[in-house]
Amino acid sequence: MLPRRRARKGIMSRHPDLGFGIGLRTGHFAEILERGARVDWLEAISENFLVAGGRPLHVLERVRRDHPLVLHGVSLSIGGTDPLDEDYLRALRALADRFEPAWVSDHLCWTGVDAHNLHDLLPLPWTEETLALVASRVERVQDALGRRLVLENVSSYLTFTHSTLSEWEFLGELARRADCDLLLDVNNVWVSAYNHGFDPRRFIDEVPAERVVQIHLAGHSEHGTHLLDTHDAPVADAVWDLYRHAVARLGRVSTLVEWDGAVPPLAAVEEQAQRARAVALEASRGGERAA
Amino acid sequence: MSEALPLRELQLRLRTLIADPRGLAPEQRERLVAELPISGDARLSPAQRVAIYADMHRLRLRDALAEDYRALRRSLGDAAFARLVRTYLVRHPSDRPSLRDLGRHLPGFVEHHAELVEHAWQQDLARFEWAMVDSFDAADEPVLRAPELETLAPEAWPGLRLRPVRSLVLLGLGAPVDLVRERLLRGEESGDVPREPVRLRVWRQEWKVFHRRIDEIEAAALDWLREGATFADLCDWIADRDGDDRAAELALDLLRRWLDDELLAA
Repeated sequence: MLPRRRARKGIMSRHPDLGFGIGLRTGHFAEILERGARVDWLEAISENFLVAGGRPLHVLERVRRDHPLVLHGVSLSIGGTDPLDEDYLRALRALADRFEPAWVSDHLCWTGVDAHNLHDLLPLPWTEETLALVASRVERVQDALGRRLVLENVSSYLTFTHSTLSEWEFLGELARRADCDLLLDVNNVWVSAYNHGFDPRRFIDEVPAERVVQIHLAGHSEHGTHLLDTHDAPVADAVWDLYRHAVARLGRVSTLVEWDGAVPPLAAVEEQAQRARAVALEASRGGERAA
Repeated sequence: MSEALPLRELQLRLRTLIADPRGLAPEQRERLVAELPISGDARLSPAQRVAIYADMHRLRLRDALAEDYRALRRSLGDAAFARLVRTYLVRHPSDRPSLRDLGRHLPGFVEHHAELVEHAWQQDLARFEWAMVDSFDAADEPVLRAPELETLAPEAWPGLRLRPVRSLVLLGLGAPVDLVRERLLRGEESGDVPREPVRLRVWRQEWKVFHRRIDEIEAAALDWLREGATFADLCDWIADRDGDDRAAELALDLLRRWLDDELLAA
């Protein structure tokens, strides 16, 4: 059964506003077991819990007892050209049935080809060929999972000359055709905009608001010629400003902070989630503050 | 000017550029990238953009294996470990959704490629470290506790089938790599590692993975139990081996040890 619809700034969302959360990471397991997580909700990387047993699943049970949970995958390869991995889908369905996440998400990308998993979120050309392929695969995945899928825009470092759509146009058309929802990664918008020279605010302004059920925030690293989506630092000031812009347009959306490299103590990540709460409150009350 | 390719062909070619662990020559890379419809600009050429993905791919897979084989990496050093990873990935590219499984072939691989390690004991170390990975997330199950056996009727004992927990891994090794691993993870050198047979059991108790040296009798007894032997079978086997007068005592000693270590499934 799909989550109930809920009014959000005049837009009917199919998912609840979970508040402000953080990604569940192995380095925080001990602290979470000891004193719990001081956030509204948590997001778990699905693949880390597709195991038979042991501590990861124990921690996930504990987290789920106390908090809403979202399952976030990295291996679906929705833009891949190999057949969908039915074993993976069955395992993911079983995990979702067991832990009853608010929703299941993955990335708009491909992750492997010819049975070779590259373990990266690789970019797609924004073409009609890709759109038709991904839309049909989303429908198959939603059938297999018994849930509407939520897809995230990825950071990218290259684009294709034969793309005929912008990324935001592609996302909007995909969501409409496949009836899926979107996870707007604001840091990824900023990173890709820098790397490819587009206006990040335009991306935010053009993405279909009624489909955005979650926002991601994370840190990135600067490498002179480009930005890398490294998730190893606090959210950058420019990304906070873009987040303000997103909230001003979209209203309150479930927001989650990711931190994967050089992971600090749990309290430091929780602090980023609290900052997101403050920024969102400010942006939703008074509109956007000047950057 | 490159032309649009069907998506699958584009992905196959990008895979070659990103994941070829042997490393393409720069001119070969430039030529292959030039055939792809990838945008470049004044900051980054198409080849440089593809290289960002190739670098991240190499580091991500190396780091995943280094996490699972922490002591092996320390004993080999970064350069030799990176060489081992490159060679391993040619033979065993990732074919599973999770990086958790990436290293599952490595112990067998180094056994067949002794030239990639400096010492034979490093092959044993790889087996030991992978056993710990396997035990870590093996299936959960209730464990057998002493009170449950205490209530067992005497006539039920001979037919009792005791099953080891699924997290149990039994290892027969040629060197004391349990001690070597401890030293390496403390930041010490491996030192001279003698060739001597060592039997280990690796298992998970609650949420933590343990290992313990065991003797030949315990190793064989655990194998027997896995094959479905009854308690009477176990006692008979010990009696044949060590004599009737010691069989019950030895069997009960083993049983106490296994119960203490939560090694038996309920």
